[in-house]
Amino acid sequence: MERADVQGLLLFAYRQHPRARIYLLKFAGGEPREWLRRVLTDITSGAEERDAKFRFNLAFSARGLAALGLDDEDLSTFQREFVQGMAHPERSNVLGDRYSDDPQNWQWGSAAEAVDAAALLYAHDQDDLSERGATLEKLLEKFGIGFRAEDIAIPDDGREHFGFADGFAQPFVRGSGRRRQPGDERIATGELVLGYTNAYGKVTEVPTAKPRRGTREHPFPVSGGGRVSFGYNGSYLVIRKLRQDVAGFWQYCWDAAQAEQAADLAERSKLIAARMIGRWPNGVPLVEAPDAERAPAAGLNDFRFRERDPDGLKCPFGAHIRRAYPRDMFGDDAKEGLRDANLHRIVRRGRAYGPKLPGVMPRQDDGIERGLYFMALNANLRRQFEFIQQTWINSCKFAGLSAERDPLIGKEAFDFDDQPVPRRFTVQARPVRQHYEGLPKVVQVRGGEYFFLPGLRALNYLCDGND
Amino acid sequence: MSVVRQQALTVVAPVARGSEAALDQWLRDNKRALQRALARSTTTHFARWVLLPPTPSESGQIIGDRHLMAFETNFDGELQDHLADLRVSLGSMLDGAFAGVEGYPGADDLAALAAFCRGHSLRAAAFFVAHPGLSVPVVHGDAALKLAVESRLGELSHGAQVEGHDALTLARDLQHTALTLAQKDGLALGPVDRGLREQPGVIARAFMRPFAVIVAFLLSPFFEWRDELVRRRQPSWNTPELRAKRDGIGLEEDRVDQNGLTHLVAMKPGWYRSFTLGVMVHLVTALSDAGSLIGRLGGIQTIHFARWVLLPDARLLFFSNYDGSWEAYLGEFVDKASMGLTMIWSNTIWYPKTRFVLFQGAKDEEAFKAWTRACQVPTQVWYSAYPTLSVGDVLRNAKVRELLGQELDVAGAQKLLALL
Repeated sequence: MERADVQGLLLFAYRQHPRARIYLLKFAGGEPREWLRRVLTDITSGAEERDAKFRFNLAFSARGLAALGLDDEDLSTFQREFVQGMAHPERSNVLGDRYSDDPQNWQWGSAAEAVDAAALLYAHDQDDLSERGATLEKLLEKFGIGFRAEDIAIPDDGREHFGFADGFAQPFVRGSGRRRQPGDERIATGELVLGYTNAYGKVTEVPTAKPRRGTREHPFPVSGGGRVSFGYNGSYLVIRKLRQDVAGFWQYCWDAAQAEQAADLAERSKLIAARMIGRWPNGVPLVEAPDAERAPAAGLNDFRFRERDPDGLKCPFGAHIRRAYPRDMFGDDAKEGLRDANLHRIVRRGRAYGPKLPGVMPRQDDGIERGLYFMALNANLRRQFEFIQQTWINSCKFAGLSAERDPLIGKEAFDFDDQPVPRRFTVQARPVRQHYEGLPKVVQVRGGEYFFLPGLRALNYLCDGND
Repeated sequence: MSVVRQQALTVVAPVARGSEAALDQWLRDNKRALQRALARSTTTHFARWVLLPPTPSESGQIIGDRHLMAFETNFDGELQDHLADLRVSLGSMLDGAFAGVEGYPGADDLAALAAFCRGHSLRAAAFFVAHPGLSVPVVHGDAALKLAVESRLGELSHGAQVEGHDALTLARDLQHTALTLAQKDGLALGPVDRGLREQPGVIARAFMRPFAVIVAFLLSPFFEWRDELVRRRQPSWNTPELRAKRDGIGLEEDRVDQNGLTHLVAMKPGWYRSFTLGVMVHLVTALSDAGSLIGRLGGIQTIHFARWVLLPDARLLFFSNYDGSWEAYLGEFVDKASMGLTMIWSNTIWYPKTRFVLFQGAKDEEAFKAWTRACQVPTQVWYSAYPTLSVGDVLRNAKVRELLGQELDVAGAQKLLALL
């Protein structure tokens, strides 16, 4: 992998820079190319020194690329999911963004509130972030670029809003130069970066663009027909803003524990919640500790489902971590299962927004919006991100289940007569399973878009004028 | 009870020139009404009406001077009973759904209608059934029994937990619930004869025509070299028009838990390709017969019914009724059934490059998916008798029905409960 040409976000989660801000940009009426020229040197590559004070990355939606001079022919070489955009009705169909998650209810990303680019600024602390953010904002204003900014962070206690440690299941990308953690499955470079060999042993399709004046100055691979390989060293970046109803989640678990007439309501609620997630709040997977939370051992990504828990009696089949990444649970044997599951991996870069709701397992809401900026990178939106969302998260037939979706982020379902389908979560048990009925919808989509994260040479290309 | 066999009906007839737009509109407008009417049919598993447009051949010439109407069903029992059942269920809607189709006699006369369907029906080159021997009433009955015992479990629960019974007591309680319902509604309970018998000599049958198989494989390098020349000369088939068409298809998919797929592509020209298609269909069918009995098509467990039909104008038509998303379905094709599919589809145009008829081809994931999408035809009306049931659900519900109707010991009771 050409680490000096890829953007740093591909390789790093920037854990040393826990404070961050996302800028969603609108180019209309501004001078995006002039602005891009000014910030080009600030953009973090994959070869950057570790101790730099800031990290800065930049990705464009299809309309953003069009504003920077890519024409229809150029755009038709990108994945059509990207060109359509996340709010396109066909994508909504696939992603399950209907009813209350319908793009028309979104804060941004819909046709009415379309965005052209996402700029991500990362810093060591809040002061640095504010200072650099102010500079950036001044520059955006100078070039007439509209923006919507929101602070995002890795929470100090390392736990997302529901109170669970997360972000463990990441693939190890060959050629990334990172250290492989125990349990991280290897995936081909072309599963993350365009222009490399993917899981099928094929070089991924690379979006191309017509040559521009000055393009020759950059050592830029040229494809057939004189077109430049614009997408080389790039990747598709998925961003979804997901609101979390923390109090609603814990209230449901509490009520469910009460309905079961549990002796210790707090312990029982915690167990019910852990079963929905598949991990305890401290990140220990239920296949390792099915009955009670215990101190984390090393390697929280180092486990499989098939041998330890073939019947889902430890970690329910419908648990979020199984649906998001089923590891070895499908297929004729563990090896085949793992191989198939690894055809659908994403590299996650999500961060939380909004303040934590105070307290442990809090059931009282404070009316402040909080949630997750889900961010994920992949080379094939349809086979990787969308597949996970459609075939695992939102499938009511996942793992032999018959009428339920992901207990946390599953879509809202309606039947043929437009009646809402009640949300259910099944816990496999002996002699007979338990059904948790009437789950609340605790995660709401508030915005989203597909972006393209170009390589550095491609960013240079965007600065070069046709005009 | 006698075995109920599942069969395929494919009626293909030309639409009078100029009538196709009106027919297309009528079918789209009446889609829901047709689905509701078909729900009254007791013999129809899946059905669809699809207008097959003229499509290009390898040389770019257009095959077909008119649209063709393809009406297909997967049905139980004998054709004449099925047609009578369709006529009762659909009534005069049949006339709307076949308006402008040449030779259609109207719904009034059953004999004429049957003659029309027989006269225009095409035999499937290959036909797959995931749950043979389970008729529509049995599938529905099984689902009703499952629902009844589920709701009985709900009555016995505090919150999510079913209270205190041991497996045997619980199972007997559920058996009582099932028996009451089965007697009230006349549902099958216990085993149903599905006519599943070991078919002997699968491998032997596959090589019943060894000479043909050898000729097909031996000659393949030459014809693959020819394909390569054609590929170099040909302009890209991935045109803006095709892309626009496939956008429309995407909007119709994934509305429910099942999908229907209609795929139409011209054969490559010449005797070798039609010869090889015949050989390969025979080979694939023979090799996967044993597998298809347990609901798999080349290792795929999500296809209810599928079939290939060769049209007289040398185009290959593929119908499939599958669970889940297009992407997952195609992914399984690539990961689990690439050889079988390549053996069949490599004889059609634009197909990704192959080696010895069975290698590469569908293994080229991005190219294969793009090809499939490009050859898909929008389906005007698609019907499923059990749109919320997956292949897995159908087979599991059947197992539940068997156990509910049997004398159970503790192990049997545990087995039953584990299926719920």
